[in-house]
Amino acid sequence: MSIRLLSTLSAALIAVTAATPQASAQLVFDSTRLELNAAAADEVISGTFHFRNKGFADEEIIEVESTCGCLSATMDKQTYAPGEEGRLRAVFKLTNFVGIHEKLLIVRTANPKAPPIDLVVQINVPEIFRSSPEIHEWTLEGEADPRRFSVEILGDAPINITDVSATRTNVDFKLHTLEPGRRYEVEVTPHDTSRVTMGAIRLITDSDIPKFQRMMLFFSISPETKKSGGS
Amino acid sequence: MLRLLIESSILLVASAVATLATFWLHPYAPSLYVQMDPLREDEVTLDIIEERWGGNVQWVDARISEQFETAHIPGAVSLNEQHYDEQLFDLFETFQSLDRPIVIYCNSEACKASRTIADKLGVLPLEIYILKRGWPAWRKANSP
Repeated sequence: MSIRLLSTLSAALIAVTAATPQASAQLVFDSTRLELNAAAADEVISGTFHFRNKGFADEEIIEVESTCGCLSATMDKQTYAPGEEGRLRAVFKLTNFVGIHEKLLIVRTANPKAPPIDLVVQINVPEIFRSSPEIHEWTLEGEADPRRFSVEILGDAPINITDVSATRTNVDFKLHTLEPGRRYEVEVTPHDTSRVTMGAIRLITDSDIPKFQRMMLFFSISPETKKSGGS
Repeated sequence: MLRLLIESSILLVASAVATLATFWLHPYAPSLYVQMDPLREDEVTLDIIEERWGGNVQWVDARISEQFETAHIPGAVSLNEQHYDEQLFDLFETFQSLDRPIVIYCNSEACKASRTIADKLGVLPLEIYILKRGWPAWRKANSP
């Protein structure tokens, strides 16, 4: 009877073991989050994730998926022996990014029972050019009052606005320089609010950084305004 | 023979109970079926685009520029996170006169670029949707 009981328990133990994730291979990252601080003029920034195979079998990384075309990853090798350390280098192309952005790298291994590992890459790019509000909105058939955008230059170097134009001919606009290279206001006044319109004021600057050389301020005349647009 | 049958049944039942318990309790147990996510309010499928607008939409490709240049939906314009400001600067006069909805697509379900571009464009009074399953959905529907 005890032999039968033992064999029954053994079979149950085998079933449980077979159903659980394979514990023989396991990649463990020192940290699954990487924070990178870029300068405004940087085009590319990179950082490294460190990990170790803490299992008892080789672990093969078969795919590193990125949630953004701006973020790519390279590794020193693909298969890691038990106890072996590895490095995954994350490369972020900054292009137009400004502010704080988070993107994911999803690491998949050849172990079918191991879940994907999410690695978070956060980049911090200083804001150099700040304008507000995001959009000025007039109500259709409402008052065609003048509204102002404020523009601030936040970086170390001043940036001068050298040209202002509008994508629509039914508005008047005027640039006010409050502090050269640092603070401006752009005043926009529609001729009337009799028709639905969406447009932009285009600003050209003398910034050395391409992403700050051309900026836009948006306005609209709509049946209903999404945001308050007072001057 | 009967004893053998009984013992085998006991082993089988014990194994099944252990396996089922693991399936219910284990955090990484796979699902038994594929779940279809319901459409969000601003998501559309190709069928909806055809039914609602006769296919007459402005496609916006949120993938990286290299992917757009390789292939894109006919008539699509490229507007991605990497070059958003400079691309919008050049595209704006097209958008400001648009008389049809914008539908944004990117590379896959995991790609969040469509949602990011939709959020950025959302400040403007435009009718904006996201294509469910993105570029792969269009390719599948239009493959020979």
